[in-house]
Amino acid sequence: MSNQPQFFSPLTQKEKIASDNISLELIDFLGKINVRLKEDDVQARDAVEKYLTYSLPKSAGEVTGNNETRVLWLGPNEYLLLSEDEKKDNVINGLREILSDLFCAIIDVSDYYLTMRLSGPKSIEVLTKACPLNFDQYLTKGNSCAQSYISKATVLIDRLSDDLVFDISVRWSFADYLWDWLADSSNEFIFSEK
Amino acid sequence: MSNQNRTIYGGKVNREKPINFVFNGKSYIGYQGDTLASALLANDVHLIGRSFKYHRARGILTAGSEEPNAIVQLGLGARTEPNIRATEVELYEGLEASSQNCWPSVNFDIGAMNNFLSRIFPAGFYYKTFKWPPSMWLFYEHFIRKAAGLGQSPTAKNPDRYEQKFYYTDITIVGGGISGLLAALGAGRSGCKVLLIDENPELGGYLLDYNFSINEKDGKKWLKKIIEELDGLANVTILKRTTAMGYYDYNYLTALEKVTNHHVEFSNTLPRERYWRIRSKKVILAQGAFERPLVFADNDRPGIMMASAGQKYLSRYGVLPGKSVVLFTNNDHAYLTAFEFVEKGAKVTVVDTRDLLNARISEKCKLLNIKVFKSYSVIKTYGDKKVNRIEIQQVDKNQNQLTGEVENIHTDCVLMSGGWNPAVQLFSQSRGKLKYDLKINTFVPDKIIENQKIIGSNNGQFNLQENLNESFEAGIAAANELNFNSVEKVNWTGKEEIEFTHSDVEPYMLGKKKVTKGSKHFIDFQNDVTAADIFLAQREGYISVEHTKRYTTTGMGTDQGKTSNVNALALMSHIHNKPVDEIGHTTFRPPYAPQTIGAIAGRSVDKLFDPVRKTSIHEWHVENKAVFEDVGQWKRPYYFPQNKEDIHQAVKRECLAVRNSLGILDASTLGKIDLQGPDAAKFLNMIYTNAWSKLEIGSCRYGLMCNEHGMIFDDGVTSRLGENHYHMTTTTGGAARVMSWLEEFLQTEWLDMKVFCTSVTEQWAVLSISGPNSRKFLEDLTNIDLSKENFPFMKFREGEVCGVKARIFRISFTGELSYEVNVPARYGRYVWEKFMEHGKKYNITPYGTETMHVLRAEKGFIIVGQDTDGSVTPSDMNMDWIVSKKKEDFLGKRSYTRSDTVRHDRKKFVGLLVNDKKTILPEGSHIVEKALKQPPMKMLGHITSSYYSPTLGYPIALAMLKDGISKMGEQVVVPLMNGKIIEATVTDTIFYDKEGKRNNE
Repeated sequence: MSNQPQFFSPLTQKEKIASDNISLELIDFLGKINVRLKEDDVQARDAVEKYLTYSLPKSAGEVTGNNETRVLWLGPNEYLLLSEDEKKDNVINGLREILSDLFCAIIDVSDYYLTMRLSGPKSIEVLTKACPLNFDQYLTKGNSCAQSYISKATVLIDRLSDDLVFDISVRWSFADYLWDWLADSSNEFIFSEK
Repeated sequence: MSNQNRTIYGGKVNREKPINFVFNGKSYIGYQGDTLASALLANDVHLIGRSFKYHRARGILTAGSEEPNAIVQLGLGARTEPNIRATEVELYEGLEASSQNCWPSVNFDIGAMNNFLSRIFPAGFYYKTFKWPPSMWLFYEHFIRKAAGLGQSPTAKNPDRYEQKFYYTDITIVGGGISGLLAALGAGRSGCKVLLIDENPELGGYLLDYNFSINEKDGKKWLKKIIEELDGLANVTILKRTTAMGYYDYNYLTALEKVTNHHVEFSNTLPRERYWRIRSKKVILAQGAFERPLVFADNDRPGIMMASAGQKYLSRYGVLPGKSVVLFTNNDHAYLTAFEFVEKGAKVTVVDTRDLLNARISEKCKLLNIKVFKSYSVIKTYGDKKVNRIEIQQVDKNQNQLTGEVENIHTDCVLMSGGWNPAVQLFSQSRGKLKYDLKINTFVPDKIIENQKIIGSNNGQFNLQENLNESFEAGIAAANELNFNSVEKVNWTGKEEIEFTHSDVEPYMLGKKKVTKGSKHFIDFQNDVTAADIFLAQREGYISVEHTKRYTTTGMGTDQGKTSNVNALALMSHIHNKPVDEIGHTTFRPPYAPQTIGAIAGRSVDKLFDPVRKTSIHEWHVENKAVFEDVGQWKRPYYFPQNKEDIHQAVKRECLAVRNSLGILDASTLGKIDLQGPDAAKFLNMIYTNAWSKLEIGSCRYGLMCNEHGMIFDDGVTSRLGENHYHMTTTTGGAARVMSWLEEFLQTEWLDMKVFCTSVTEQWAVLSISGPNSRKFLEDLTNIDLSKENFPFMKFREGEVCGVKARIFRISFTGELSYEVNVPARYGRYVWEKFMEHGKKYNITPYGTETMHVLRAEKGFIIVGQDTDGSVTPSDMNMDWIVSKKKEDFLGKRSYTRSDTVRHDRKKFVGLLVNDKKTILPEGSHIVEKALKQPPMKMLGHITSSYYSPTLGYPIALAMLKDGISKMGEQVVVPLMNGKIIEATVTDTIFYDKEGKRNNE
């Protein structure tokens, strides 16, 4: 074992699924930063937007971002900022600095969630087996997100593009269960190709 | 001879494709497209099973899901299923089925003696066995349990896969008969998202079986075109073989789709069934209607079936169920079936309850040589295993009695039609109100509650012409109401040879004087409820419709009274001489039809039954043979046995390692909440009972959380990380509850408080190291100065551990020198392994929750939820020291002045030492004032925690004891379940290191 601290994720041992209909893979660790500020706190909002160089999402399910970071709307006073893993400390420190006198909370939750990517033409069919969201109404296009549950795990689903690509974040402790669930539910679409 | 009852031509079965199947051990051949029922009738098998109570011979009554009689055991081994309607089972190669409720065989059934003993099994006989004499119940029970239930449950694990599906749509249409199809077409053409559900393998419903014309052309061709158009509409989804089971508030429906039930081979990937959960903006009910039986003596023999069923067997399956047929009817429409039977070569006699007959029908009967007995009733039937003769007699309507000569007719099949009952089950589930329609003698929909339409015969409208245009327009209107564009209306002209008009159904119900003794007039076929049972229930005072149902069991079972309900109500109306409306009807509840539990469970089975929450170090525990304990959904190591240790040996070794050198515990499951904001301290002051204003940055403090009633509901250590920044820990099981609790108060009570709470439970792996060597051990692995001066007890420091950024809390749940090392979850396993490697020289010992419990009990630390139960205050736990006297307010404060919380004889937390120094008292044992030979004994308290203490060498226990503090040093007795009485001494709760020196080292 080297002296460099080693990462560990329960999903690295999972066999990924790659087929024409449905794919399921693990997403490497990302910087995940929980940002709390009051919706109507113009000063804090402006400061964050200036730092990010783009607007924070304004309504439920909205996602904004640029090449470096991406912000998901989680609740009226809550956002999830995604960045490259290596850059997260810079972002956290940068935000804390510009917000130092303001009422806010910038919290590193990079390990709180694990993220898996479900994609392919059958991905909505897999999700609707156990997720009660109305996919005609939510997550209908890229850059939208929603929180719901899949079977018995609460999830944050981030639709990355108009193509059917969904990044599903789940609390670390539920990741093993959720992966197994999605893999099991994908089964019929993998085999149906043959 | 095979398929002897098959007509020479006709029907829609594929005669090119024979299918082999087995019934009661005998092989038969049917055709593709048959149901089990049609194939059995084709092979002249009429005796299908035995009835529930009297074991009477029963055949096939209907041709659909309402079937009460022909219920069979289907399949073998793990896939065997009881109570399957033969009328619904699509025939597949190799199908095996058998009769139920008979032994040794359906032909010779010992239980049939019940039929002759029926006088001792009247309605409510089961309840009567409870009454008298009381001692007999144990005797009866043995036999009743044995006789109860129909069919056999499989004993092996279900090998099939069941899936579920959430679905949203604009309009859900239940029923794919003519009304449903046209509504779907109207809505579908408008462009809205339509889901059409039908329980049959083929769309078309009633019209598949009857001849009709549209615009004076063959109706069947027109029907085919309509279905083709629907198939082509991308916005229309059609689910065949799918039964709508439940209709809940706000148009939430559940439906069961049979995906591969009818397949010859089971699929490994496709589910057997799929359970749909549907949310729909609008629902259109178009479920049609069930034909109603007529009630007469011995109306249950094989060979007696509904006229519409006869029609279906003949026209859809090409099966002629009898050659010498009697039609017993009270309406015009059933004559269509008589004509059809004559056309296919049967001899038909009609017994009609009415005295006047439509001239056109009279003429046609003459033409076809059908003899019609007007104003007659069937009064009795004969035939052992199949009907072979009936008796008829004239009815004097004014006197409500039978009159004149009894006439005999020899027959092999009786078709009966008592009119039609709309299938109002789902409508009624959706809280729709029903009214009784005197013209057609049945309940019809009245008031709609949900955003819903109900159309066609489901709405009591049986006329084809009316239905065509109304249904199509209902579909358009529904789409319109959802803001979809209108489409052009169409005018179809539909005709049946005999039009259904509302005036031609005679209200013919069995009159009092028509009940003949010694024979049974069945109302509910499946539950063997007779007219006499309904009379008896009324005589015995069960006159509410709900009481009658439960007393007689009418309307229960797999068919839920689809054929029996209205007749039972009509008879009650007759008995009480009250309109049926005033009798009312029983409540319809989901499911609409029997449904597999497997489908409700879906994939939540086996390892997916419930989430197993795992920490980031979990796999190490598995590899090192931890025995796990469930804590909520978490798996936590319980203990780590070495070699062949049992739990006691392992826990002893683990405890001593912590007390003497070094132990390590995975404490990652503790709830963790990040609190930030200028009002965080103020908030903590309200949430916890103690004071938080003066906690310095870098310090930790233990807190008790109480509810408004002052009762303890969680505890944990909260540390101040920065000026306005705190890190709260909660119990493992209480994490979610505490988070909601905090948010509830922030969002509903203290809106002006500036605090953000964020769950960070899984962000951190928590490695708790404990024992006298823990400082020495950790010093080598961190850049933090661990000296007593720099890092005393109840402080928090940040730095690096094994090269990983870490937070260390110097807190202790064991009473030993301890450090709780928090690292980001991804490094949890890495740091743990480094600890194990480096800790070898201290014999580092991983320990589980049991050792944790023992160690904390030795120190008298409470476990919320084990030592407390939601009814204890801090004072009850001797923790007055943690309740601030100075704070103006906090949650629970007002309750500490209530007379009940201040009284002295409340149960208090104490320690107990058994006098024999041996017995480990079972947790939950009662402490009594005086041990008696048997309960009741006056109880003084109970044991909350009890262990053998390896450190002390004898057992210790914690208990809640009435007025316990003033009982210090006194003796108490604890009677055990095995009869032993154990004496113990009341002590302080701290058994070890009372001064608390060790964790302050």
